[in-house]
Amino acid sequence: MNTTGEYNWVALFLFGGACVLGLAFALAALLRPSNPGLFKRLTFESGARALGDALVRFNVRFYILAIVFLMFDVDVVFIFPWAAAFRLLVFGEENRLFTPMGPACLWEMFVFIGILMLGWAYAYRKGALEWV
Amino acid sequence: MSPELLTIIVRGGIFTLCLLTAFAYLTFIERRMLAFFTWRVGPNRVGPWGLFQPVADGVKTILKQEMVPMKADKVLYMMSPVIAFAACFGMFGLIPVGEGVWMSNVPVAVLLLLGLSSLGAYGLILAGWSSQSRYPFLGSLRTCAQVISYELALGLTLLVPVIITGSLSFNDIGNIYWGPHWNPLYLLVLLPAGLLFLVAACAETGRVPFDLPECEAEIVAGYHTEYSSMKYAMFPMGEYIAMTAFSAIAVHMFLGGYHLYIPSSIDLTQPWINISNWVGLLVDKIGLSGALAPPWGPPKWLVPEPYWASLSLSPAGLSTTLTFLAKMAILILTFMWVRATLPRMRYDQLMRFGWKLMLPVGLVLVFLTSVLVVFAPPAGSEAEDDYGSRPQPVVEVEDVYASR
Amino acid sequence: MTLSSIRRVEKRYDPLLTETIVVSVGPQHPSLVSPVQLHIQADGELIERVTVEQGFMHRGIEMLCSQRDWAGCAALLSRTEWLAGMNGHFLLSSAIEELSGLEVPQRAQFLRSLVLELGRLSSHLYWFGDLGLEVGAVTPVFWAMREREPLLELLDMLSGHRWHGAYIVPGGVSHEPPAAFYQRLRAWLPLMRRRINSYEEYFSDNAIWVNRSELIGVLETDYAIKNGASGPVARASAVDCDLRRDAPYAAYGELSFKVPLGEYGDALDRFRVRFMEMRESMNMVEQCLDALAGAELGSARLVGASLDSPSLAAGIQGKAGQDPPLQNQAGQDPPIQIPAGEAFVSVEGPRGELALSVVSDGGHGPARVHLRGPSMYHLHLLDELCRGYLLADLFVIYASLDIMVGEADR
Repeated sequence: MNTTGEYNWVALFLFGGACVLGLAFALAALLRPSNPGLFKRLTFESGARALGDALVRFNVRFYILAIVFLMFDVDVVFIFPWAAAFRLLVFGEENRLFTPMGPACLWEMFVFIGILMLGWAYAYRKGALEWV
Repeated sequence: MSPELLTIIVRGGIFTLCLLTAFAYLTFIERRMLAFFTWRVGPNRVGPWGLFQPVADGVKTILKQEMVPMKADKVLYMMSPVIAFAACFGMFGLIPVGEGVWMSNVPVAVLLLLGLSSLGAYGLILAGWSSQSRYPFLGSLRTCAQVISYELALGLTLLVPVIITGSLSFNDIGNIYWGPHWNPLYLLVLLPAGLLFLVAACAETGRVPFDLPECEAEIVAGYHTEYSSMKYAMFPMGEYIAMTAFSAIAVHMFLGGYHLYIPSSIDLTQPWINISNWVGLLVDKIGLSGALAPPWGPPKWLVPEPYWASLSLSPAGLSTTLTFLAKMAILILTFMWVRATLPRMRYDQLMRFGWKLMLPVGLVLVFLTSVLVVFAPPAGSEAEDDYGSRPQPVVEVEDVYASR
Repeated sequence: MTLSSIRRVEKRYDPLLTETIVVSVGPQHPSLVSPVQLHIQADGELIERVTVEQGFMHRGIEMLCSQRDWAGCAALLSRTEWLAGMNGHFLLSSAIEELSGLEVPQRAQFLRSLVLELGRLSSHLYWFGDLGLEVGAVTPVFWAMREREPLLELLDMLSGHRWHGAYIVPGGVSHEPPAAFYQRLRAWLPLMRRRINSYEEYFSDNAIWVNRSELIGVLETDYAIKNGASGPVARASAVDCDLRRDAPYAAYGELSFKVPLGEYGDALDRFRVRFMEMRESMNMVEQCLDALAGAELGSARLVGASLDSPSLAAGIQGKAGQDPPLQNQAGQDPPIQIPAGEAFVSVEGPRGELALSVVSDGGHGPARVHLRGPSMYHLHLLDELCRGYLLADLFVIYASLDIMVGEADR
């Protein structure tokens, strides 16, 4: 099956969506009143004057979490091809010229997911999954 | 211009129009529903039963004055609503709506969708960062943490139907319940996976009880506090379209896609009857002829022959689309119902829920599914197959490569 | 769990040298009903300090009172705590009675208790709706408003005003309620009893709400006492105080009621205590109704020789044959005069102890007025309560304190 064309359509659809947005923005820019003023352009601080810069060196408590996420996300992406081919790997298919692996393919993935779970348990113990 | 390209453009136009209308009326329906839950009337002034309310809202949004904060990073500030909207919007380029009614039939649609949904998070994060104000800043940090935490659970739950059907294409996965893969035991994993998916989808789209990124109690409106006019409208638009998209994915993954089956007898284990093409069945019964006969499409004198075929809608396409939309509507209404019912979770509780409950449960579900697939094979023809006694293929894999 | 498990800010080792940010909430903020400004110093999402800046709603009520006549003073006082405006009327009326040595008839006392409890119910219902909004639940606020509506209509029947009705007047209440009032109130009570249960279950059976409020914003008993907490906030912290029982006024001495107490003093306890109070209030309303329907309790207010005559023993000086003394149309009647002296009266309002100190110099209005409202004290508990909790807890705590800025700023 030739599927390259299909990807083009997705891209085209995305592009079309962006175009619709552009049109809406342009229409709004043409129609809406524009009357900028100093106080309108101040940042909103619940009615008070904004003090200082918003971009301070902020204590992002989840940076460890972000690293854990990256790790897990990559691993989950690894599982996807295995999942898609799983039935094929176990049972094989008519006219497909390779030996089905049988449950071996299951055990192999179990080892992989097991290591993942171990990592999760370690992160849990270390408190990396806590927000504060 | 090739007929195919033209067809796609026309179809894309129709999709876009439908989506934007759907967004507009979803806001209306949500307001009416919330009103219903709280003994109010809801918007009923504009047009009959308030039906033109979305139009009025749209006009209002367009005519609003726009205020860009002085400190904002202008380029990112302009870009982020576009990213947030386009990523959610693009999801529908991958989702088939009915038989033959789709923008594209990509074989790895599920993966692409996950990619797009994480891309949407960029829009929200950048929106908060580029506003250079405190509430949006806090809101975007929350969004960032929330989206990445539930992304994993989302991916893992999607794995369950993927393992069962062995495909990443929605058209194949929609067949999960009645294809050759089916075994009733799979319900053991599909049901919890479906529930987890709905919860994760709630979190991904930032709906109650996971609407922390924009929870107005503390951080005013979260990442879009500094946005106004049309740019502001992009965020709720993206949110509603994402909600629609996730409902569509849930229908494909866990509710049997656009197919419709009914049991043939009281004994549910008997084969079920496929009535996916119920419009076709009706047409056969009535016996339409002449201009009314299917497939239906634009007038023949307007559209030349090579284009006509791909722009027309068969009874199967129509009935599957309607079935799909009905299933989707049920899920969307469930999302709205949840909004009327639940309070908001607290921040750390949300993260704890995602990491300490959803993630391990998702992994366990993947485990279980693969075990079930191996040891409780489908009830179909493959069921009798024992991989041990299976006749070995004549040619080994290595040999194939050797002979080239 | 015990109190020792409560989180507190600790000095932490921070190799990244991160800074704290100051988030300002208010005066214009979607979840603040009335304007107050909170400067929140936060380390990440953790609150280190809350500085309360108030005065956005300062109207100078006390000063205004000393420049008005007694009638105008009553109207102003009922606008400090407007969700239960009858408290202001009650305070001024009992101060005038104390100054002039009036004895209020028994029937009026029961009617006063009845109205005060209705005010408490209405105020608590409003609080319960607001609480829902603060935790992101949109539905409870409409439940609350729906339940409050018949209540306000009842108050409207009494005095012609839904919030600030001047039903309680010096010498009693302004008039005997119509028979329909009793009927409607009796019909409303059982319905409300049922619904209150379901509303409490909505919150207390909801894991999300319990998780958000359990051991959040813990107010310890001695801290509560030291800082002048009163009302449901103090009672949730196990401070056993209730003016209705400790220093009975109106007809509370003859009503039987429990004073619900909390255990830990957290947001969940404050929530529970208020709901229990609403049940107690309904019991009291029912007792009042029974008493009013039963034995002869006298008239609803002092009439005839005691009040309306110019030579009344109590010393209220009004024009002959004019009634009632507080209905002072501008330019028609001379304002009433109250004997010189000082009076201090207090009442257990829905939010806590409301007290009024009045100095009269025998003129047409008070010489000085000072009001003590609970919200002022509770507002400044915020800093202690919020420290070490998350930004998201701030409004749960704020809503659980049920602060009325109009009364704190005055």
